[in-house]
Amino acid sequence: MIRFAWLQFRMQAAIAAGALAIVAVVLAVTGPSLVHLYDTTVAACSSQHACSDATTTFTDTDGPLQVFLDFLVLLGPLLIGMFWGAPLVSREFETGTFRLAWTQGVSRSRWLAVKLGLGALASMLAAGLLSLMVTWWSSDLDLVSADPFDPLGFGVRDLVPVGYAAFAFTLGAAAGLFFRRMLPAMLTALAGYAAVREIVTRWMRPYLFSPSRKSLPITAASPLSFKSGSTGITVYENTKGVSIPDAWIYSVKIADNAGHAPTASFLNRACPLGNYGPLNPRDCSARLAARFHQLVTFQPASRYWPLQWYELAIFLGLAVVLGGLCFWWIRRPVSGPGHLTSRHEPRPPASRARAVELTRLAPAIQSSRSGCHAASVRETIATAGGACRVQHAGAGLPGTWPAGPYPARHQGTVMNLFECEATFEADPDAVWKLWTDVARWPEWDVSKEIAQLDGPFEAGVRGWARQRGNLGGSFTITAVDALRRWVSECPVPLGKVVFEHTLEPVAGGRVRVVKRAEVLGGAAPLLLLFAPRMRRDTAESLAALGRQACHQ
Amino acid sequence: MTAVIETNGLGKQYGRTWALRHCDLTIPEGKVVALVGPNGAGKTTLLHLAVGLLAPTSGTITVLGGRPGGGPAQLGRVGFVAQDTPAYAGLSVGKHLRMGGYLNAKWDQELAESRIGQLGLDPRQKAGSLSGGQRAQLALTLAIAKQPELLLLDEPLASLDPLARREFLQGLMEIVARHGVSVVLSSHLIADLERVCDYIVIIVASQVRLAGEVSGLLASHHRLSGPRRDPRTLPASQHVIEESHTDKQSTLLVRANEPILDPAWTVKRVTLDDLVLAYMSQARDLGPARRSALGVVS
Repeated sequence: MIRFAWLQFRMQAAIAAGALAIVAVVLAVTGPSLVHLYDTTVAACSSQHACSDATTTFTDTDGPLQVFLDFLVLLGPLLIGMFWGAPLVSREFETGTFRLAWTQGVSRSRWLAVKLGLGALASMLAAGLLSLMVTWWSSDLDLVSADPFDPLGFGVRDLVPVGYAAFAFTLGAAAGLFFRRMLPAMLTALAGYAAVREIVTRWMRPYLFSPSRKSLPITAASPLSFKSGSTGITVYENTKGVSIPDAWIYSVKIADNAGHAPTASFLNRACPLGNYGPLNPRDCSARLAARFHQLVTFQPASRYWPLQWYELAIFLGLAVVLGGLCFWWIRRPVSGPGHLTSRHEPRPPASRARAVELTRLAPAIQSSRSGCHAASVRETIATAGGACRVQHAGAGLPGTWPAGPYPARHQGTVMNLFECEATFEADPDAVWKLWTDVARWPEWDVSKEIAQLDGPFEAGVRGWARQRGNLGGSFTITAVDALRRWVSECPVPLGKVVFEHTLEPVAGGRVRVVKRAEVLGGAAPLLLLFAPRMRRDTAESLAALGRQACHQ
Repeated sequence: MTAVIETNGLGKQYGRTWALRHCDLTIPEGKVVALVGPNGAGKTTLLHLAVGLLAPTSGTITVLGGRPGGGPAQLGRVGFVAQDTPAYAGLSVGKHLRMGGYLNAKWDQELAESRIGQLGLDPRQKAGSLSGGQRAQLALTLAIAKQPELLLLDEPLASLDPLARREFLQGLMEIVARHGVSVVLSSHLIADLERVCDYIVIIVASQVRLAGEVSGLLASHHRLSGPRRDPRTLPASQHVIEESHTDKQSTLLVRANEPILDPAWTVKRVTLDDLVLAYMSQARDLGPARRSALGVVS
């Protein structure tokens, strides 16, 4: 499978490798001269004035290239999401080739796992290499600008682009699998990536680590700004001017030891304002410094790497979640191109919510069905030749249901989950015996792995069953009408599911078994989501019950 | 006889519409089965269910004794040629064969290459530039080189011209003869199927109307013509499938397992064409009433 995935992916990989090679050449050509410039200007300057000039000269060098590179690292993951992730599965749907790919001798989940895995690794590798090259090329520039936490700059250096790429790729792939169309998937990748990056940058990154606080004296160099308003003068300080090297300054407050800001009347006396700020800045800051200090809230430079790792982990985590969604969605029903636009009900994962056994059917099916296979049944029975064929096992739709096992006692929501039935040739006693032999359920019930009952088969006895691929769940027998009917119930969040099992002999030495399930309580809408799977399992199981009873 | 496909109360629902419902069907091993019905009858749905691309909404389906799409082993046992024979436009014919080799445990590269050679296809040609007939042959090659026990073909003839159609069916028959594979072939082109199929399943309006050996069905159906007569007066063993009456004459298509002994009738053999059309039009006549009855359920 991996070789096939590579066969399909290698053109895209070649384009990406080509683009990275071009960037590498450009950086390799311009990088050494940038280092040389740094060594001869910034590193060699002697006076403060000379250094300021040298810095300007240095940082202005290759200005457009700097901007371009930052945007390249910023947009790289986005391009990966739109052009690698989004088409990954949606193109298979659009061209119909999923019908080719998914009918080869490789399971659908393995197919997805390999394609997703290979793509995600390639995305991370590409973004990682790009980030590595740009980080190296910009290292001296970053040293000079001394602002590693810059909202844009943080995201285009070192580790985080790797996480962004993995996230964007899986976002595109998941959207492609969901919409089954390339264009909506690309737009989702675009909008989703931009939105999540923005949300994390703005609303999460500052809160990942609680900031440090520090008091600094006010000096003449402190960039204070004053504002004269209706309540008098107030003072602010620009966060850019605080001298904590490489730190991420959240805020600076001017406060006294008790934490109070200077009052308007104090400022009026200490810093009378002219047209362009304080009339005497030097006196002003000296007077302020005597009683007040700067209270700085910040992330120290040492938090840079923890933050990079943390944000990388967040995006990788999101990628894993989206990857999981892909595995869920790929199990949804698919159909030919004619049905691509219709919305199918997603299939639930093989786990969860099935801590309950569920089944049920619609009575109307029985009657409407009578005439429907006059020809086919006869013909197929003749060819199959067996005496104890299951004739039908059908299932109906969930819907509301007026009369159920318990409608009167429960005033809450009562919702019919489903009803399934099967009719087969068998001895009713044998079927009853088999049906109520809890320990033997796994022999014919496809959804049960282990089942047990803590006592004889009678009302009030509790039991326990493990569903296929799931945890166990308990159930209670609530009514037994020997050889005719029995009822059990399973607790679910906010309510319970009631299963009614009936058995009736019908003409021709045959037996009709019916299993119906109802949800009581608030969990009904949730369980409806799982009803299709339960219906399927139950229909299959009842048919198997018939076969088993027949072979007794 | 073992069944290659066995369904019990099988149904598949899209939204509120049933594409297939209450389907009870047993397809025996070693046959070339024609799955016939008008467009939209549920043929594709049935084949997709059989290959595991779809999961049933209700009922069960067993293919070669296993659950369709139940794992790599099951997928490897069933060869599938999808409608419009999709292929990766950007990959060459040779790469499609490599794909088959990568994805299938029992892949027979020699068989695949020799078939491509016989067909005169250039392995370096991109699949996107193949003609419809060539693409269908490529798809059939991919399906057969994985050495399946059952071959499912969804409307493989629909987009082919008559010559390509004949070549395709010839290729298929060679495969059946050489590998003894069971085949289920859906189509609405009855004339083409008559020569190759020995078993027929008729699906109309999402339900199976008729299923059985072609020879047996042809033997048990008769075209009767004679003086005008109310079909209800026929013996109970004779089921009228189709009837037409003029003032003086009645023409009936009946199913009867015993010979027709009434000397009033002129008895003629039916062709497969007659049979299929009779069952399809019968279904159409019954259609509206039954549909409204089903509408109550859904």
